[in-house]
Amino acid sequence: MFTILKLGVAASGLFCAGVLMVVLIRTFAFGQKPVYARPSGSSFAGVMYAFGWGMLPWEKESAAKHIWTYMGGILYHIGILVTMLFLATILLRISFPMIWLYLARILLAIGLFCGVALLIKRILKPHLRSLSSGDDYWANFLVDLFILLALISTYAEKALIPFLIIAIITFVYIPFGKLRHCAFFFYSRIIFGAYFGKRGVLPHPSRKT
Amino acid sequence: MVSEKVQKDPYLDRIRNLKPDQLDSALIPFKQLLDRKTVANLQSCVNCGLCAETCHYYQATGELEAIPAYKLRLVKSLFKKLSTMLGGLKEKPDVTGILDSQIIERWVDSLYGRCTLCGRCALNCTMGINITRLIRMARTTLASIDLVPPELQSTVTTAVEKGNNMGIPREEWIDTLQWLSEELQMEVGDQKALLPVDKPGAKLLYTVNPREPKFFPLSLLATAKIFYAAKERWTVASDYYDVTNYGLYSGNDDEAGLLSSRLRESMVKLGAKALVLGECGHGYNSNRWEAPEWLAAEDRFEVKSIIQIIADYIRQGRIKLDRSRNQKLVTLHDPCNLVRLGGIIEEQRFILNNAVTNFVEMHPNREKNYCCCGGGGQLAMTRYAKRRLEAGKIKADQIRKTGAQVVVAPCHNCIDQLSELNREYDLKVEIKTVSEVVADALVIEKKEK
Repeated sequence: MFTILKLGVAASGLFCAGVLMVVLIRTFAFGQKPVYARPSGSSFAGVMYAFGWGMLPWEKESAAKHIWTYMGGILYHIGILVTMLFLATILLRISFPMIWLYLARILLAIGLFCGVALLIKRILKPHLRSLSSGDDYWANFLVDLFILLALISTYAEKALIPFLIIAIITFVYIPFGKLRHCAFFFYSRIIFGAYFGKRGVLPHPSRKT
Repeated sequence: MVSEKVQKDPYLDRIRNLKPDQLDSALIPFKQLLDRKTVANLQSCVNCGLCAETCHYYQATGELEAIPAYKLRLVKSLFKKLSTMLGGLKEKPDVTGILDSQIIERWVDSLYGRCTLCGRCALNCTMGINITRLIRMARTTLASIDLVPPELQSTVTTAVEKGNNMGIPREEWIDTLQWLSEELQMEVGDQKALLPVDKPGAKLLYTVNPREPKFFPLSLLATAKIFYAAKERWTVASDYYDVTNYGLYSGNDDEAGLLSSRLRESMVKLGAKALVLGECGHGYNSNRWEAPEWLAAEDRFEVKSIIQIIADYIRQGRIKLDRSRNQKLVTLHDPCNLVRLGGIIEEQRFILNNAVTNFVEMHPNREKNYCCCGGGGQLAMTRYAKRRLEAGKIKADQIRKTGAQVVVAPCHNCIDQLSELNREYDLKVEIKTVSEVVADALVIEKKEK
């Protein structure tokens, strides 16, 4: 049973990666219109900013004004990353020192807390509720469950079976809902950085030197 | 929701009576506008809602329809209906009912009526989605089925048919330039001082917002005085001199391209070295950044803002300024199209620091500044005037907090809106262009008669 589930996770992971790849290829197949305006800044510097300074909360009013949501989002994603790493150790039978396990538990617990908090915020805030679709709730719930089971699995091996089942469901779901943003995030940040970089808007002059 | 006044509008009646084939025809340009960047952006939103408060309309009204993510969802939902689960377009989509009058009404209300295309949401999106471009793409789609709000379309049509958005006849323009030349001669004490028209081989071709000759000629005189002091070889064109381009706001790329191509025709005809764009935010964005894309051609000459030109004059010592002539407390408004979307950020600060004694920033400023709500075609779309003034309160509060007596705005549209905000919120400030402030500080040695 356990082996079959592990194979299922590997297969669903490959399926997820494959479908995301197809989605990205089809997106790129839309092509790019030629660009004619001469640059006055650097697209490259803009992209570097987008993945560097531009990620810091004080660089964006949207993050600065909602610092707890921003921090919650970051910690939530760290929790997801740790869940994926933990899953990899299960699949590949990698053992690791206890200190790493303790650290993983802390990060998973914090990530789970943040994920649930973001879900509650989505439910309680009227404007956010109005913006949300079923996909928003389901994706958040599914990932929260994924992290929760990873956390429980670090204590009780019996939880590994539901953990692997949820991993399969998550991997299969990722390419078809909002979770596909994991593939588009990087490209969207590149587009953002290149656009404002070319126009000489970002990085801000104080960051150029 | 849509106001009572809007509900009785023939424009809305037209939307409500759209025939299915008209609605379906909008899908063709929509699909043509999709490229990999827009498609990636359309699939990136996670509905985090953090963009809400970056929009001045949402801040002012708290309405769902003003949230950038909501506006993006309107566009995204159309894309979703046209695309497969794997992201490509359906080969034979069943287009029946994909768009209906209710959807179009929501598009118009949010994408024209609650957006100034200021780019603030795009700058602040945590994913990096260029929401502004997607909204303009939707406007282009609406423009393709003649659904630009009539007041905005009327401004574009006037510019297309008459050569400038105010429909100023050529004779009136020439007359204005002549008497402004006489004014300039009196001010500087030089009978040779001129506002040159159609001067071949001039270094700079200067373009203006038609509201200057029409209503605020002294603003044009101020720039002429600066050119005179700098001993510049410059000219204006007698036919195509309008720096504005409301096609940027209507979304009609063909008309926008036509308007921008005319300035380029003037450049070629007069053989000027650089196209200088007067103090107009969207005129700068249109002619510096968007026109090459509309016209699918790289400019063979420099396209600069007058702000850059004045800053260069100061750096090169070509003009002398006496800051003590501007002693009032001055603050600066950053026009979105010039600053956040244009990249002209520090030059105006450099100029003001050389032209006034007391300069104070409003907060936030530079690329993070709030839109005054005069852009996006809002000044033309009178049906949304109430919202425009309501959303402009944030700007009014920003100004009030500085305690400034003078607000400088390098954009005539912003100046129009700021003037209305000045009255609406009783700010008791003077509103000036950068050129006017610089002209006030200019040191010109008058020639003996």
